[in-house]
Amino acid sequence: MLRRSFLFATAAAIVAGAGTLGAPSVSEAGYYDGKTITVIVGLRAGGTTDRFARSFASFWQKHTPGNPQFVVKNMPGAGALKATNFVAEKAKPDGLTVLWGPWDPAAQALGRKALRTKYEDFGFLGGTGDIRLVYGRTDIVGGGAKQAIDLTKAKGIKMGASNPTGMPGLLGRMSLDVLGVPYQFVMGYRGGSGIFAAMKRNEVALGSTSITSFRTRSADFIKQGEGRGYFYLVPVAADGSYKNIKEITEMPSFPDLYKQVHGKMPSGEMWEAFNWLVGLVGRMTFAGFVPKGTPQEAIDDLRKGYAAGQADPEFVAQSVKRFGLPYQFVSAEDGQKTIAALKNASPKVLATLQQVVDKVAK
Amino acid sequence: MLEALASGLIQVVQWPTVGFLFLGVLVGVWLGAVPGLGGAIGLVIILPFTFGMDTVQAFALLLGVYAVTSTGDTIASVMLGIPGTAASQATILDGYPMAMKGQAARAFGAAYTVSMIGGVLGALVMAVSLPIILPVILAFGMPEFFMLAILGLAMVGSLSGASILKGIGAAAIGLLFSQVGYGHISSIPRFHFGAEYLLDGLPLVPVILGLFALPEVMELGVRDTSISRVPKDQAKGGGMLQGVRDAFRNWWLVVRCSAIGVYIGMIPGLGAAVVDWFAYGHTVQSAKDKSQFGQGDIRGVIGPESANNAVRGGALVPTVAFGIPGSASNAILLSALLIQGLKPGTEMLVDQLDVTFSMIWSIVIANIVAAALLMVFTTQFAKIAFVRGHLILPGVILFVFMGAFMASADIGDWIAMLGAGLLGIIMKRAGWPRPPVILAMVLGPIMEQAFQVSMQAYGPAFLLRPVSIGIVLIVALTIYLSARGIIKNRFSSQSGPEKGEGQEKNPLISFLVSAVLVVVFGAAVIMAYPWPVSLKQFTLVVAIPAFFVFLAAAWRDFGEARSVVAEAGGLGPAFSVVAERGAFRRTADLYGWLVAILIVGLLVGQQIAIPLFIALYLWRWGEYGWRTSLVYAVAGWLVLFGYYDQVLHIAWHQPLLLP
Repeated sequence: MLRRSFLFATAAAIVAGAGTLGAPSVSEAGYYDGKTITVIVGLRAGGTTDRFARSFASFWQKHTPGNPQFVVKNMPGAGALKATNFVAEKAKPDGLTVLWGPWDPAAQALGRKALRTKYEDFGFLGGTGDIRLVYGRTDIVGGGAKQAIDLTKAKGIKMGASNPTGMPGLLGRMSLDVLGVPYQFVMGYRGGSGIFAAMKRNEVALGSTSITSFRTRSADFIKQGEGRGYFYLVPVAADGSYKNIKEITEMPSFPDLYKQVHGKMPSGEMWEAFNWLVGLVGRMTFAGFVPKGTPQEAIDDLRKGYAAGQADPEFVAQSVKRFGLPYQFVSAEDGQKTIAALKNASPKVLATLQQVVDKVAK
Repeated sequence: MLEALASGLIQVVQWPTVGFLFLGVLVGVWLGAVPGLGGAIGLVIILPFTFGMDTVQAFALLLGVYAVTSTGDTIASVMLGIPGTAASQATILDGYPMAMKGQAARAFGAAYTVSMIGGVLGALVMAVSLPIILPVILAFGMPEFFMLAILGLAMVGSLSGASILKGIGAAAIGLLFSQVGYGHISSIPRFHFGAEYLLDGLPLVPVILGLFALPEVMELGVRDTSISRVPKDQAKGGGMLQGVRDAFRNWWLVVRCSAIGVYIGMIPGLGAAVVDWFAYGHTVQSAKDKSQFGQGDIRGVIGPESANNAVRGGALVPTVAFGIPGSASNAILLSALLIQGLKPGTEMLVDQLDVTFSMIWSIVIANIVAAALLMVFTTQFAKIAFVRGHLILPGVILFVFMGAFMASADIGDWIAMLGAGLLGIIMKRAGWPRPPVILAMVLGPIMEQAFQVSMQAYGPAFLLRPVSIGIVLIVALTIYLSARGIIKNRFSSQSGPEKGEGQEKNPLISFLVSAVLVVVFGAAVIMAYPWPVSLKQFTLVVAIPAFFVFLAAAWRDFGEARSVVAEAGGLGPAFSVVAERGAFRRTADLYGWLVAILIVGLLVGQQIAIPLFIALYLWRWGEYGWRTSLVYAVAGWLVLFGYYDQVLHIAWHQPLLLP
């Protein structure tokens, strides 16, 4: 495996901070006076998550008391779990090493050996929600898919993914399973850009991605009519209520599409497991953590910076300008509740999830 | 369109944009020249600085770095036989022998001239191809990727050495290395032997540096020689201008190889890794007189160097036109594009065409500036070839050790490098070519991915797709032509005193290598057999045929070794001859010193171990006075502290004995 070089990491080291030189500082004295914080991102440099981390780091720095220097390092591997393990096991709990990126609730819930820690053991700093969706080619049906519901008429479609346990692939597959659309799952692509390339050359027809990638990387593909969004994911509460996102108008939400197809709300074990997962990662796609034992003063300052950075009007304006909607902030309290909910997963949900993974992880 | 073309140029040559471009070029040349660094690191460093910049200025800075790292890395390729990046390996095959003949300046002159021409042509072809190239790019799906990777390995396996069997075997070693760590689809680790360091795979840079740099640099110390084995006053035809003339004399080759560079470069994810081999293969196969390739033929430098700059323009096409980055560098450029609020696709080809053209102009100007800049210093660089090796070795060792450590900032990087170094020394002595190992390591994950996806999406019928069949035929032709060339050369070649890559002949050592590899690959098959299908599929596809290749190589070596033993009058005397010729004792001694750097580094820290090595080496091996040794060691420490610690903020290994 071609290891993404620590070179990137070290290079990136000089980075976020360097790039934010000149940013106005929060002048309060505090734990972080004159210090440098290393933000470890578990995905490769140049991807959507990395891009977000680098953009956000400057706002996080700006609002953290003491105005510490933020330095972003990439430590990709094992779907961000390598970085997670590193911060849990090797980083000093001095508040100077922060893990930021996607979290993997399924890995913890299913007890995957690749994750050697538990998210509740970290100090939680703040989270960010990003909306996941399923998109694909329009030529999956004769005459082209004019509307999202045409997806259900398609036969023998292929969905691309990176691996059997990665969140995008897992959510994509489970959504089609719930919807009752037959598909072939093709794994092995390197990240979202690899799946997008395969979609362009008609090797696969469907993929799962975030709204941010959909509206940037795939914008031309959609504009040309070669592709379209089929549905985006929103969690559904126990009473069956859910909230559509008014800024997304190019496709229906999953529950809306399901009702359009089946005339009722989804149900069953697969739906329960799927909705449980959507509830976790839909609410909080990315999160910031510090190692266990980090001083509370440091955690408080970082939480404060995270919350204020996410609310910074310039950051919000940037997100709206690029993606058409702001990122959803997850407070420390909500994030910790979300993580705690992992323990409450029903055995049925976990068994179903395991079956879905096992089905392709031969 | 012409208006956009002119507007793009005007935007780039305006101040301060042109200043940013020059700055980018300086950084790019530096990163290319230092072993272990590369283009992507420079882009990551610079990216945040561009957040608040104007779009054209941002890309002038970024593309200045991006476009010229493969111009800068020629220095290490020619002077030290170290490929600056995996895509610059082919240059060493003839570039390094040229330096050994005292013709480094000629190699530089030719390399910089063709790099410039290739880079400019690449950018121009990119401009012309942007609107029309989509169908070509889309014709290459995963099955074609797999077959192209096979073609790349066939090229390197059959061209870099005197035996196709050994070339293919060496490629198999690289493919097996690429199987270390987590599986491509499954999150189960392979061949990690309990070492956490290996869970995420064997890192490439320490292996490249170990395999190439250590054997070549150690040779300088062991044999107490300069890079040029020919004294300066006896070196003939080695001038820089001669190289420039060579470049223009072979203009048609330059154009063809640049075209190969730009079009192969357009294939996302694969092009940049194999393009110099395709160019080298084409150079060799289209030459009438093939006898000097691998011994220091200037065309062997011109071909790949034309291609590896042209590839940069080509690789930008899928990034800009379709949002599909083909490499880490391109992913970062795509990131910059999106951060600037631009969207890849028609917007870049219609609404923002002037920005796209400004990018093309940036590449054009960067290539010209880098070549001119390096030309100015060529004579000085080339003088290093005549400096006593003992003075060069400590400095190179510093950069090699630190370059390796930059891979993952783990002491395992040094262990991996020293292990690869040992392998490199043995392969060199046994006449096994080393470039296939690296290319196969780079291509291994791509091949595994392409193979697994192809099998899922198309089944075994993926081999029967029209483009795949076409590539199979080219692979067969490549192997046939190379075999014919090798057989012909066996009868007619007049090798110089210094043998090229994979040309040394030591059947005794080679037999031992083959035999060990038979065992290693046999064990790999046995270990992999119980794994889940998705984990073992590609491992077995590699290891089973390779087992038989090594068996065949061992059988052939055994026959030759028997003759050598009989000729020497017994096994003992035969080994003595080989050991004396290969300076085994001094090599082992120096290797021990390098291992000592690791041990001292573990105990008291790397910032002490390397300067200590420098001082002691100069005093003991080079027999220099304490003053010279001390000054050199202090300079080494300043580099470690000033550059690696203060600028790169490297996370040093925590020593066991010091706090």
